[in-house]
Amino acid sequence: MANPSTAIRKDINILVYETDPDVQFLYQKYVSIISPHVSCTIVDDIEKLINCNDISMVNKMNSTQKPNFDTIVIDLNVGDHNVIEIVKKLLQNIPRQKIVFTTTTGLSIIKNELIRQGLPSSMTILRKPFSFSDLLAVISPTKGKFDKLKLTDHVLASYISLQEELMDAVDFIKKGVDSDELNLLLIRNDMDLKDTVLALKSKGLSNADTLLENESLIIIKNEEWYIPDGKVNAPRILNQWQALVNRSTQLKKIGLRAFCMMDCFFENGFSTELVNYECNLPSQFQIPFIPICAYRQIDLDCLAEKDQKKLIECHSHMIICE
Amino acid sequence: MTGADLDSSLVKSSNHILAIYPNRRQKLDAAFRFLKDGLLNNEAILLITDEINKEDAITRMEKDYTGFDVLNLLEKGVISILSPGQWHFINDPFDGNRTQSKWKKAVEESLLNTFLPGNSSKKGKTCGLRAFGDTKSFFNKDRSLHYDNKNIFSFVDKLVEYECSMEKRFPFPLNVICAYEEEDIVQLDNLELKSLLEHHGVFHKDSIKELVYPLRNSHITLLYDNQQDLNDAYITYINEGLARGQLCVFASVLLQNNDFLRDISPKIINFEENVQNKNLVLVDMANYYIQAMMDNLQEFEKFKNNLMENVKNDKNRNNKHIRLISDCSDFLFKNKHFEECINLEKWLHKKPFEGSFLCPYSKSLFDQFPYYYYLFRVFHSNDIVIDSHGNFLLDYVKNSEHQSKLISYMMKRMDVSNVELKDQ
Repeated sequence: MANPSTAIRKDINILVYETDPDVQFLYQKYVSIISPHVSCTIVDDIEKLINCNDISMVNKMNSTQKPNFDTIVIDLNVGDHNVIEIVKKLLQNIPRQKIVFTTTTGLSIIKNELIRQGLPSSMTILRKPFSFSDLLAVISPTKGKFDKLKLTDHVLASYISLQEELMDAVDFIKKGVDSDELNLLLIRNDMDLKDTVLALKSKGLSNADTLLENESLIIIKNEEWYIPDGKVNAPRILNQWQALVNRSTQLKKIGLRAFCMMDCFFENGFSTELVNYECNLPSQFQIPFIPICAYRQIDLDCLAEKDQKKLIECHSHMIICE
Repeated sequence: MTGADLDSSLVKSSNHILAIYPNRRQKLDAAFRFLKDGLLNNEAILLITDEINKEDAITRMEKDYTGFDVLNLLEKGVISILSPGQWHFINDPFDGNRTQSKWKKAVEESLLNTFLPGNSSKKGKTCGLRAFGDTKSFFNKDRSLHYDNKNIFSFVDKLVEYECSMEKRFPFPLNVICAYEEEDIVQLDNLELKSLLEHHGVFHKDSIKELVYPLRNSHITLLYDNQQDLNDAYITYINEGLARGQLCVFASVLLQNNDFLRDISPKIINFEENVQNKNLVLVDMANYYIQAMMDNLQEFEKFKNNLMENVKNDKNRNNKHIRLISDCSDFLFKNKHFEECINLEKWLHKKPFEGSFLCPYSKSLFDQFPYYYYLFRVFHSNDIVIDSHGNFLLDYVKNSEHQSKLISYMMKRMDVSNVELKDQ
């Protein structure tokens, strides 16, 4: 059995909590075939599982840091411990940790049970016995949603919950702060400015006040930005973007990064105007500007297929949250 | 055109079908098969052509449609055989509006019909009309026009105008094949062909050719409904490649699954011998999949270089076309590694070696959230999209640029088909 603390960091590390020797052997066999770039650490007692993600160490990490393991595979049918409680604690510390449950029980039964116990419905469950490709399908490296974005990308994102949206806004702005960019956050009209700052702080942007003070971060209500006079005036909005990019240069920043909540167009019945405005923007900017156009999924679903297609075409990158 | 190509799944996806046939014989063979399927499906049928006279058509139906009382069905109006003169050119001129009204009326009349197909378990009223409309007469009429008249009035122009006044789906139960011969359709200019394609749900050329004779450097996206259909497509693509002395590469992430090759290998010609002789190369893509997830396509570059070296150094291989099947992008897509999938597709689209690339995708995924949002980002503007029978699927045309490239591809395809047919 591998000692978790000495696991060598390869490209993709997976941690498996499994007590059946035959299944342990299967994991080792499969992983050895998959790729030399994947390593597998198997633990057979719950203490080791907890130690692998040492809470004291994890607490020091913020939500965007890479966890110890890219994927943690946990057998639900092992031992007397309340595995789900341990997982919930783990997810509190590392919200983006990928967890895969294995079980011999029916998938829908397990899924309902996980939801009942407060875990997200998107949790991955692997039904035993599983094939080689079933295991391969659940393995993935830890990826930041914004790792691949360039300063000129025009990004479309969709969200089911405001919490997820705010979490992404924080991660996105943090990257902008790290790269010395000017950051703009366009918030919904019904969001309070002070409460938003508190929410940003609670989600990991602890220096939000300082960023606001030194003009590294600007927060504006989206209606004020997009439709101040009750009309969607695309040329005016484009000029605003250009002016803010210029401002970022004056501030010796390397460019402008904007997280834009787009609900105001739909709240004011401007979905057609919105599509036209978006189509006026290129999928790649010629200026140092990266906006995320953050849609509520319900708004995106309301659009006609041809409009959805137009939106997709005018963005270079998409982030669709489930 | 084979019997399988105009199956029920094709008709389900669209009811206004544009089909192109290499010659008269294949066109008529397809017509009789298509219409027989209609009878089996409790549809009234209508054949519009002057490429076979009514008596000969009846004789053929009596021979081919065992279990159906053809003469009785003709009398009842369940089967109709008309010449274009009776359907389109009443008193000579062609009036598209009149023909459109006739379709509607014919469907209404067909729905009043009752018949009991001999070898069908279905009983009762007909459920609509199935028609095979041969367009040959429009082209013949133009040919017979004096040159000066042709400039003033063209039957083919009128045909295109009429075709484009109809949508991909009819609002009533009507399934129509608008049948064109290759020698005729190549006379249309790109704009006319483009308009025709826009107004037909399915472009249907003599099927399976995309799997049989893939063009050099064609990047083929195959949308499959189920594993069996996909396996059949794999088998056709590989067997046809092997028969032509081409190197076939089957690169799959599923290769390590115990039963993966169970259904495929027995149907591949001399499977073991071809694997041993490296005519068919099996590549486990698991590691490549992992690499693609990590945005590292270097392994793919090495893979490409190895293939190219193999073909180049193989003195006995005269045909240097490489046929590659890779399900790596499909697996990335299924597992929601969308950007990585798009990345890999872009790499494939650089046409890394001389040959053709077949990338399968599960069709049903594109109806599901969040997959459907990525539909038009995954398909590259130069791709052709086919179903597992080799039919072009025009519903997946990405944009106007994609459409015009597709039309160029089809035109090129036609030239190749003619060459292939002459060679046979």
